[in-house]
Amino acid sequence: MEIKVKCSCGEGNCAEWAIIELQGVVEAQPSFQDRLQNLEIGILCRPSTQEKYTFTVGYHELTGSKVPLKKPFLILKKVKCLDLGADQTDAPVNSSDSNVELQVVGIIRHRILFKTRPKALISINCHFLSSDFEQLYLKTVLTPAIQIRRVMANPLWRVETMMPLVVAGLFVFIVAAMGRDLSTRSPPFKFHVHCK
Amino acid sequence: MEEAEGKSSRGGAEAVLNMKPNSSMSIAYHPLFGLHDDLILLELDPSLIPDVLHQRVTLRGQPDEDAVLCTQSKTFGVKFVGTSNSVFLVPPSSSNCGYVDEFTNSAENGNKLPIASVLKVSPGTLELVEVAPRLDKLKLLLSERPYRLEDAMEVDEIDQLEEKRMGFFRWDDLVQCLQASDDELREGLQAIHAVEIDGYWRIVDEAYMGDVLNMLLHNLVLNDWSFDALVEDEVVGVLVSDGFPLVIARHCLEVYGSKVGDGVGGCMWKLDEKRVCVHFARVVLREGKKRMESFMEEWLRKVPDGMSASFETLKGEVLTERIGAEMWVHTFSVSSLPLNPADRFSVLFRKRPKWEWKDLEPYLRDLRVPGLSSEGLLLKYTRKSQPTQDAEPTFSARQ
Repeated sequence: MEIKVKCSCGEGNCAEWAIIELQGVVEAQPSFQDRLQNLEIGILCRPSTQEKYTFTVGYHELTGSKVPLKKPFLILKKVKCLDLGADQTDAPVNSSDSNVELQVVGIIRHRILFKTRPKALISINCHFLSSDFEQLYLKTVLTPAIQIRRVMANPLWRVETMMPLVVAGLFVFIVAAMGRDLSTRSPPFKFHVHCK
Repeated sequence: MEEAEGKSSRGGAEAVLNMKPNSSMSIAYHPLFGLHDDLILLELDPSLIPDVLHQRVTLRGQPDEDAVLCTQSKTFGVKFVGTSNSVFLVPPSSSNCGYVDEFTNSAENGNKLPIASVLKVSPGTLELVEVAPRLDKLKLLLSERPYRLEDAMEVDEIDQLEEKRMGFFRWDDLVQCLQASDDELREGLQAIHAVEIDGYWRIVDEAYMGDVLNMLLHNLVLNDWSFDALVEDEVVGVLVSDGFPLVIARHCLEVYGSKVGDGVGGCMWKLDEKRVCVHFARVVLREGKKRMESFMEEWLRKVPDGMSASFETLKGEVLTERIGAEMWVHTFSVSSLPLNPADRFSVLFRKRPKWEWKDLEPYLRDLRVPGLSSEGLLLKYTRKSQPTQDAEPTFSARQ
């Protein structure tokens, strides 16, 4: 089967998205898990003319910088076009029969990357808007010292079923990897470990 | 810290990317924040971006295969690389990307800082690595129904049912079945001498092609044509009047000759000595292996006068083996071997556990793996041994 990659933006007009990347996970309090929309995550500051940034989440402050991506990312959106051809049947459309297309919706050329261990802010002079500690609904977990990359095959045809697995797996490994030697690995995935 | 300039609370990706020194902004979850499984990040070498933006790129494969991404002339394997980092995706605030942030775009939100909203946390990205096209299936598919004499004899089949066309492939069918770019698919079809007949790509039965060649050679002698200057229209005309379909007559020139230019009667062709000689060697060995002496005698008899046949030209097409005190010859063509290196070496080492380089080289000549030289291929798939300094090194399978 063939999946076409379509682009309606035209060269040079591709909308530029941004990435803010943390080496860690932002965890919400359980009661807020399902209603994160519109809630503030944190404050991003650029203190000087340098491309250095701080990101304050809860009472943690992360420092990072804006870096250009070595290879840009394209953001593709999977779009199902039901083929209403001459033989219209009521049978459910098989995923290999329906016309799936990938549309380019944007491009990413830079990211703001935070990979240091967060600094705990304890002084009263912190400048974040969601002020009361008791009302904090977000906190960062301790960031692992390394980023873990995991290579998987067969991405496109089965990406929907793999998602929950990936997220669950990552959580387990972040907790397990903190401070531990990663020489024990669990099959069947291969690991590429970026050490600093 | 001062607030950002401007009273507008519009944010989005552009605000993040263009933050002024000494400014702050709020990062929030987008009103439409969620899983957004349908959004995928693809990492691309900048040289490929024009191809994507001009819609010259597709993904090809069956649901049980690993997907490949194809441009016009290259094939790339696709892998999903998950990350333990949190990658927050921030869309631009403009409305044409479809993720309009009503909340922050309204003038009524109480924040003083501009807001950029995170639509999704991306679990990873797709990465590309250039690979050789996967064309082993091509020969298999087209060999199901080779074109034979009977097909040439069939009269008009206007009311032929579609079902009868099972095992027949049009260009679009091949694109759906195979993982290769258009250019690579075309080259693959040429390499196996496939021909398009009535819109279907076919492999022509070897014996039938032999008949066409024999007729061509017969007429060559009769009309005193030259091997090096065959006039297309003349040759094709004669073959058609002898009962061969036009497309097959033309195909014969493609298979056994090469174009040398344009002339008064159409294109000029010359017969390729190697291809013709190899053909006759295969004819002689069709029934099985033969002793070297009888093979050479029969072969030299069949080769057309004016062509010289040396055993050297059969490298990569036949193999010799010593049985008792005698040397025997049998067919073993590089064109019958798998295209991917792992399978090819496995077939070669099953045939013979140890190879000397001079015998092995012709069977590796057409192997192409992006990023791997022929030395690299040998290093990866073979074990080299050299018992003494002046002995020939031999190659065997890696265990």
